[in-house]
Amino acid sequence: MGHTKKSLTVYRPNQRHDIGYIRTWAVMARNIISAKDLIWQLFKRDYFAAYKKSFIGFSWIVLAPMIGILSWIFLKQTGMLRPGDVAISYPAYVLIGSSMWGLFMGIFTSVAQTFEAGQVIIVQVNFPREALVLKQAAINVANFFISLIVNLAVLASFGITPSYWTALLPLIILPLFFLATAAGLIVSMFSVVAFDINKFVTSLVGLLLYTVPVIYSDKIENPVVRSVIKWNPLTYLVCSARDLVIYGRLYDTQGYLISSVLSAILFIVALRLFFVSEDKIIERML
Amino acid sequence: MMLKTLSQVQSVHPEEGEVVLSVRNVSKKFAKNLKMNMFYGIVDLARNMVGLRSDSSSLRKSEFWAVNDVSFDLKRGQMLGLLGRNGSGKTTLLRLISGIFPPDKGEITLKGRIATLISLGAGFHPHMTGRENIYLNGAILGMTTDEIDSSMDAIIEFSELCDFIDSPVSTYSSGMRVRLGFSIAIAIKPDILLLDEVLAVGDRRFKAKCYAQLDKIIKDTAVIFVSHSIPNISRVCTDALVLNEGKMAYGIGSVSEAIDCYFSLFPADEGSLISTGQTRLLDFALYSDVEAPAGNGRPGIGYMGLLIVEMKLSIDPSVSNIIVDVSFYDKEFNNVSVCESDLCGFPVRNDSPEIRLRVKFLDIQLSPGTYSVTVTIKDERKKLVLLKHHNISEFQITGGFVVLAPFHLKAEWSHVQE
Repeated sequence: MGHTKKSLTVYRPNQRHDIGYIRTWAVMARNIISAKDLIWQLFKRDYFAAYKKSFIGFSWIVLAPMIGILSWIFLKQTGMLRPGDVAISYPAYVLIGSSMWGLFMGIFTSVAQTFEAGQVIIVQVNFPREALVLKQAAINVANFFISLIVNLAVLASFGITPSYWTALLPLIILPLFFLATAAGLIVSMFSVVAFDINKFVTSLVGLLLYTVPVIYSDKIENPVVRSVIKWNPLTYLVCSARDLVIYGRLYDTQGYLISSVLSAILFIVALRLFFVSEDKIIERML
Repeated sequence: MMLKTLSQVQSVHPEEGEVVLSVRNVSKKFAKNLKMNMFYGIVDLARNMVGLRSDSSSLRKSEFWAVNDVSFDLKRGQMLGLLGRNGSGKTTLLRLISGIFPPDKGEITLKGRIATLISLGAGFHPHMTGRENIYLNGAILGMTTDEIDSSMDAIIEFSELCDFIDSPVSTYSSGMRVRLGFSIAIAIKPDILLLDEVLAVGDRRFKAKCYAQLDKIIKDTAVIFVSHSIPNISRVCTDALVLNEGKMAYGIGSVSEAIDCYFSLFPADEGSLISTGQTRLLDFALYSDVEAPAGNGRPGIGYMGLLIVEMKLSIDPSVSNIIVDVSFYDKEFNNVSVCESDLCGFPVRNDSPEIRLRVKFLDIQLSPGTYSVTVTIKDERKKLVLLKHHNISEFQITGGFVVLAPFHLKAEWSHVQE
């Protein structure tokens, strides 16, 4: 037997409460790094294996949102939806806008199911549960970038050349990522305890689409809708990402910055809550 | 693994006999009621949200201690059998040790790497191949991709799945999945290995192979083994612990004494009677040496002592050629012995409304422990069971020693002179 290093692990009640806010990040970062192989394996399982029993496989990533957009185009063509002046071709406007919205919704719903999706292994093996959160989010980010490439091609076919600022998109969608992950995490924790919360919030979040000028223009006349748009941080995050691609500028720089800071704060709070609560939540899963 | 970051990394020699697991006054509470469980969950989360911690050391309404003040140490080379009735807290204790959730009181200290097999193949994906699942499962159990790569051949070989390793796991039989799961788990080379009823599946030969493998790794590993199979526990474990309603009913110690303690947790079973109606068992009694009725409860009979069974029967006059048999069962409901009237050369005469029989067992060589009696009355000609009364009575063999086999046979030992 050689001289090997053996780590000492201690489990105590409320252990993680003794770790300060700053150290939380260090511990979580180390957990994530130590679980990088696991995250990749889980990602591979959920991402690639999901389409194994499908004829057209990955095409669904692009196809599914496009089918969704068809309904908006139909509503507009038949005059049932009056989106206001969107300056560019409506299908192109909806396509890029709803892809940004889809990123938010995708991450949110997927992260909200973190515990549910990992239930089988969570109650049987101890591993850094941060891996599950990251995996859930990563699946949506991967889907987003794949569909973005196709969407940009579609945009070009409408005669709209995507702005070269699009290269900054990964940075610009970061607050969107923070907000979606934070909201998803909080919902995921509460929904382990009571399933109603997930049900309720997920249905409610679906309605949020109408509070963001994605399927209609922000020049819509209804004053109530206008003020909802104005006070909704998602407006600035989603529309800035969209406008960056289409026009090469942010939707509203001040609004975007304020919303970004708010999202980052919520993200920090949600992650800390996850950090101190996740093991106590797992015992409620049995 | 998860809380490694909270720990100091120490340099130690992994030597045999070193304590690698220390459980100190550990308790865990759960809520009995689902709605209360939800309510407490929300309360605790809300408290955490505002930075408060929940007081876990006392019980709230409708909560109970699932694990209550459990303490023990485990060294390399020890294989601890964890015994207890269903719901006694065995799996909860394993989950606490593996860190799936934290204790509410007490402290658990682990040295080195731990592998938990509460269920083999946790997270196997049915549409992925055996090989892909090895990477996935290995990663879940805490292995790096490099470690998996270097153990891949050994895993495939041990699992005996060579020709199937690139087929989807959905095409595997349950035995094949268990083989794959166990092979991955032992490839981790853990310092502490937790096994929860996992070897119950899998065929005889593979089980034997697993036990042989456990014997190999035990030198460097501390193992906790949960099973309801007493033969398995007695075969592989060096020590045992009995949990009853979360508490330690038998502290870590000898396997045979723990098994005794485990069986004493079960209340005497109700007898059961099957009868065609042509026969009635009117009276039954057990006597020990002193020829006095043993009264209620379990009569105690000394090892190598005398056991007398008396019964009063009433059998329909139309039935002749009667065979009466008296069988003894151990606590696991194994039939350990039988005594048939005809094989003893005793014809049972059906010539009066009430037949009284006495059976004397001389020099009873059953090992100390509790046994139950089953009486069967058969019609020999028609090969028909007229009456079968299971567990009509119980008795205890006392002897001041504990062995695991049902009999300790009387024998003459001598040195053979050259």
